[in-house]
Amino acid sequence: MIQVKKVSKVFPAQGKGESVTALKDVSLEIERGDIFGIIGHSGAGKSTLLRMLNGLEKPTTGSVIIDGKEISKLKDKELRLARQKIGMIFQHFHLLWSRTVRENVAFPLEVAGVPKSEIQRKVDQLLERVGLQDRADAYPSQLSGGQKQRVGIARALANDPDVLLCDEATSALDPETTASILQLLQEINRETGITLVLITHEMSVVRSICNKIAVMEAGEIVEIGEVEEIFNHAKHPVTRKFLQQEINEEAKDLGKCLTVTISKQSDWNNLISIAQTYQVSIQIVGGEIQATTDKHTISFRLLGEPANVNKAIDEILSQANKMEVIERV
Amino acid sequence: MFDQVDWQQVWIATQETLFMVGISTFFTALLGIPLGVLLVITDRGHLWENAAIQRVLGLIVNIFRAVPFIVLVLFLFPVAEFILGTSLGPAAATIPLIAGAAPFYARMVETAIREIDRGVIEASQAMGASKFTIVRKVLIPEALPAIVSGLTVTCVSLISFSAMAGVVGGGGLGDAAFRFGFQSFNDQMLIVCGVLLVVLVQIVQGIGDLISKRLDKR
Repeated sequence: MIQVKKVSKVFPAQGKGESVTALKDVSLEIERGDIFGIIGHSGAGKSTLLRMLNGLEKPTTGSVIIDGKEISKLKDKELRLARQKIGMIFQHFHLLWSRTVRENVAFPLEVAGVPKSEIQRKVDQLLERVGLQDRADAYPSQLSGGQKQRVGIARALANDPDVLLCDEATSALDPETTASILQLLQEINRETGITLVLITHEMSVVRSICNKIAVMEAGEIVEIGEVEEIFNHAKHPVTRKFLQQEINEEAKDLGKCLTVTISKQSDWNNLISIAQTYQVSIQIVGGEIQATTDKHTISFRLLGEPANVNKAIDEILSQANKMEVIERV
Repeated sequence: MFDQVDWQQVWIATQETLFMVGISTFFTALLGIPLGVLLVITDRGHLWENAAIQRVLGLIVNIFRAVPFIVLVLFLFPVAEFILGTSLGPAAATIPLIAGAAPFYARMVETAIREIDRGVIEASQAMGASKFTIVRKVLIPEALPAIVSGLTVTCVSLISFSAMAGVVGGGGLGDAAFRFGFQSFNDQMLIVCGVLLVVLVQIVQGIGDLISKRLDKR
């Protein structure tokens, strides 16, 4: 479906600055129906790579082929036609604020020269799909971030594209909204078999919807493959760092987390009795056994009534002489 | 109280002002908007990068903006003669008015269009929109509130500039205030014409603000 072959991109020097190599000999293949995640830090080249897929950037060397057409070689008009079959959504939505939701979704259809009556029908259908039919006549400024992204998705799907490019599509959204947008993207992928290519710097996004992943660093793909394979056997340090980061963030999301040292069985019993006193439960999120020093660490979360959780934490902290509290997140 | 006011003359002058300002505002918009658009899209890395056009247009705009209006009026005598067959009267006065205001307005349009988020333009390109479609359906509609408020400011300037049209016999309220009021020691005439100008400016500004506000959906 999508083939990127030995693509390099060098941005020429501007003024006194030096030229920047954004991509170095990048190759990858994306199959029809894939949800392909490209993860990397900012400046890793993932955005440049994504923008090459619809010809917003031209490769310095190498070629980009979508559905048998070499995007990087198309003439202006052919490129415009090809782009109508490649939808794109953005971190900051990029809606036209002078148009209503309905008119925003109609825009790509106008561009494609679809007749008015057909546009009306299609827009209704798209708005219903993204769950915004009752906001059709609102202006983007009246919508929440999640709703704006839904408009962006409806707009990107207007011409029934084969590929949907997602440029950090959920990075400006809160976790709950992110989840709902990702779910919508996944549903659309299942229903239409559309190929999704998304770039992100959050592993959680990749984990929740992607089936394949490429990890980028300094303009190169350092690791690529099936998501399960990469998550279980990450080889490159950059990939591991991303995975670690995700765990930390998850721990943060789920409430207060304590890490304490335990050296005797009684310490553990003590912890359990505190939990019982305040009617909270202990959820272990991690731990480490130190065979040499007998100082084992355990990380856990307390779940229950927030007031009780706080009291229990205070109790544990007050017994710091017995249990060393190492970290409190 | 206004026994010394020649209302007939005031009425004629009002009509002349409305005619001159109306025509010149219309043509200022007609020239200024495309010029402003061109100034933006020929810029480096924009829709239609073209350094030569960008520089030539920028130079022309700056020349016209630098020349004092009264000099422009005198310079453009032959042009008015050529286009209209006469270099005198309200119609002839519109030529330097347009020449003075259009470049000024073009810069305002340029600023308005530059305000548009580049991402929105890129999104339109990603949808396969042509340059012309982007100008017509994205750049102008998105910048419209600022384009309208810029035209309001320009129109108000044209009202005050039109007072100088007296040089070419353009007439108008400003000219009447000067000739029939100030020079003829007729204070009443001066006041009436002055007040009418203020009222006219208020009306233009009020309507302009209203339209601009209506258009602004941000």
